[in-house]
Amino acid sequence: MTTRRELVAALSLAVGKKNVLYLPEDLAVYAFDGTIEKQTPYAVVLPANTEEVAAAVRACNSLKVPITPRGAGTGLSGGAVPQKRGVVISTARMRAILEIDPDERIAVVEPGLPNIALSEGAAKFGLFYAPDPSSQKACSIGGNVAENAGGPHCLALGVTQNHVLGIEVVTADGDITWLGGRVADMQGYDVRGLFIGSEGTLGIATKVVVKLLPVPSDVVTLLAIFDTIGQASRSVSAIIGAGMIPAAIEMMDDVTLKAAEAGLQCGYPEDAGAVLLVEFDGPAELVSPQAAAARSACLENGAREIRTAADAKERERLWLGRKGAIGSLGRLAPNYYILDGVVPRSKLVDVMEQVGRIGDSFGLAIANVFHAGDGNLHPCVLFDDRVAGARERVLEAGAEIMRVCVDAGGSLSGEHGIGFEKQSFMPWLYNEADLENMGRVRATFGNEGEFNPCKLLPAGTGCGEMAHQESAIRAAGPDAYV
Amino acid sequence: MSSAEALREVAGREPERIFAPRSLEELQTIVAADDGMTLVPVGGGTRLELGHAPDRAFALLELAGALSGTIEHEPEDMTVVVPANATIETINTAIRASGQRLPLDPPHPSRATIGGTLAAGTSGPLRTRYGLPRDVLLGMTILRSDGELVKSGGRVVKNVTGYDMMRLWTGSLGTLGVLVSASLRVQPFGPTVDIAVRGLKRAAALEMANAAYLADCRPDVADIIREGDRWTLLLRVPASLADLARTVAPGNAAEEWGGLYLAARDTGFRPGEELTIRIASPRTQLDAISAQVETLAPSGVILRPLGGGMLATWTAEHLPPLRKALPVFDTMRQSLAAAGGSLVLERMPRSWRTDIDPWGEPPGSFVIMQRLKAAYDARGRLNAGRFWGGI
Repeated sequence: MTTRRELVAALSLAVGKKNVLYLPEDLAVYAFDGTIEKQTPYAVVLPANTEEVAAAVRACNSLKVPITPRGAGTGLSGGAVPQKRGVVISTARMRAILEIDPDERIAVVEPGLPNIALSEGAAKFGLFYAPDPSSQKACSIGGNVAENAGGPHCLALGVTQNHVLGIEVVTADGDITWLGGRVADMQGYDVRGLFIGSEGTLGIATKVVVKLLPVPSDVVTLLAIFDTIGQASRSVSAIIGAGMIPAAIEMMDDVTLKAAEAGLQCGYPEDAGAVLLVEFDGPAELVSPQAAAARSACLENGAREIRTAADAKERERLWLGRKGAIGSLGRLAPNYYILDGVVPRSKLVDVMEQVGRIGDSFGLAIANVFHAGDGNLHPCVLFDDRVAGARERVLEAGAEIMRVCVDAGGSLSGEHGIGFEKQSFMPWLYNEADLENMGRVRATFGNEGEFNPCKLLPAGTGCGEMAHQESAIRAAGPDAYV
Repeated sequence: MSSAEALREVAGREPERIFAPRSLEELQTIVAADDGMTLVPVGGGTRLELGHAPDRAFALLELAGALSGTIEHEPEDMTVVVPANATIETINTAIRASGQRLPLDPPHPSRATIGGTLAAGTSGPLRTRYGLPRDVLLGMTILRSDGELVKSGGRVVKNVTGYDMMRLWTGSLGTLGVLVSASLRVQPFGPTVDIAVRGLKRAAALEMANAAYLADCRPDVADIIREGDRWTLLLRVPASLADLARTVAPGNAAEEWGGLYLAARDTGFRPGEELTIRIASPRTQLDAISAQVETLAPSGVILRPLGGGMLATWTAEHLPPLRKALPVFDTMRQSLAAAGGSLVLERMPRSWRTDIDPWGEPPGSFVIMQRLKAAYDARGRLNAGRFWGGI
């Protein structure tokens, strides 16, 4: 058994005393991510480089204290919440762009770098980094790697998996190694691909080599306005069915539109049932006919109006509303619970109807904003956490929605991950043998169970009972056992 | 070497026997059995030269008759579920009416199976636009070395449900399990135009391919083929961008999916080509690397600057002496190592195998790879010894 005093002393040796947090007021902000989960760690460390990350990992391992890696804490599946308390290792101080090679079109960055800062840094070379999660102003590249983050523009360009060439990692057992490098081909097994999306259960990325793409020569952004979600969903099918893959197809429903417009004044119609934001990029010769075809597809499926962004400023305003949509839901209710399911595109209409019915049956308002082009839904259940029993009802409704996605041939997550939140749903998709088979990966990176415990796969012991005990930390003095 | 013999040999070594199960159950029984041999799963048998020879007595495990199952195509979802022994051509034929294709074009598409293509990680000219085989696999069921069937992934195009076992499996040369069925991403293929720019110097051809990319021509294919002492750039672009492409790559229309394309796809894997190397290299090193390859006077060279590297091949009469080739390959491997690049000998004369490792030095993460092999095939039942570092 280790006391908190011993733990802080060991961590201070690893990263320096001023980079170890252990006072309750400092720890409070590390108890959360973007979900409704919370759990307070015993200590937080803020290493400055790879060697310090490795030293912190080894210190925790030798004291047998659980580790939870953390990027920017914007995750939406509880991945950065320290379910078994222990130590949070934050990459917040490692946020440099180490290199941009404009000829090779790659960048080498530290894991704490905010996603948007990478594209901003590459802009002077006419390049950008493609994955663009809606949280891109805050979320970190390391967190993106852990969650295999997507974003609206992943429809044509692919998710994080498709844009990372190499990762320097500190594995769960504290070793430092490179997975991949500066080329796409792997030497041996694709351990880089295995690490991406592993939700911080295999190690901590300490450097990331990413591909950069040339900024497209032209962009056309359409806002198609519909009376019903059904019309919008059928338009998505028609666009894809015509053999086009737009850069993005995003859908927002009436609840979302009202909130986004009230909060962000981005020019959305407040009386519409749904809108589609459809974007094409490339030379005019390519995108003009595509945009025309998409416009007809929407009109044929009942669009009452189609607007085209006249310039970059108007386009940005349309995207501002989409990327800020979830945040602006705070105007409608004190709390919201965002889900992340995927269904085959062909099942969109049917699944959306069922989501609506589930909301009705629980008496809960649900806002829908999602990546329609790849069938990635984000129903947001609105509620007030101060009302007794509300949280439980929301979680129950959320589980029913996830079940609908799975039953439609879909999956439990398109880009947010399983985390703590959805691990108990994994048996809906996989049997025991499948899960045991996946679980073998952990030990190959040296994770014997205490490296980001209680995440991704159905929980082991000691996970459930520890949740929601945020007050416990306040009672714990320096000599309490951790 | 006749083709019948070529099918029987694995990296220059002969099998003890051949298993040809007629059902999945029979396949399971064979894999789970303990007869002291290692099994070499065989799809179309087009890549049996790849890697080391098995490190012990082995049997071929022919999958052609073992897997049934139909091709289930969902055009609207742009996905297809296939048995692992379906050939690339069979799959493309089944889905062609929808205007969609698999974005994979390995050599020998009428024989190469999807399982074999994914296992060997074989790519072709379409890689420039559509990426590697690992970018195509959405979900899979594999038969593990202990005879257990396990699945991962799913049928949807975006999915982060559990570890990405598909990436781990793709390119693992069947050392971690036998693919039974696969769920794949397919792509709509609109009208395209092939443009050939002939008579270029190598550096100019490389520059032109990059210029076409930067001009936003969205090439499906941008391969550079050596013809005599000059180089030809083959570009395939969307038909609507052909004029734009010609402004940076002034060339003539080439026959679509024609001879030049076939050369780009098949070079190195045609009969009579005895030595074939594939180089994964940063784009900006390609000119220098290619110059080093030229010192060994290959009979065929394909540069794929927007697709990760190059390929060179030597027919029997062009074959360099081993003592001359070895130091050149070593030097190239060293200069590629810093970037994580590689030089893999995909085919080589049997007599060379004792003197050169087909893969090269394993990377720093090799210890994780060894643990993965131990986790999924501790007894070495599948392709023992054939992969990187003798895994």
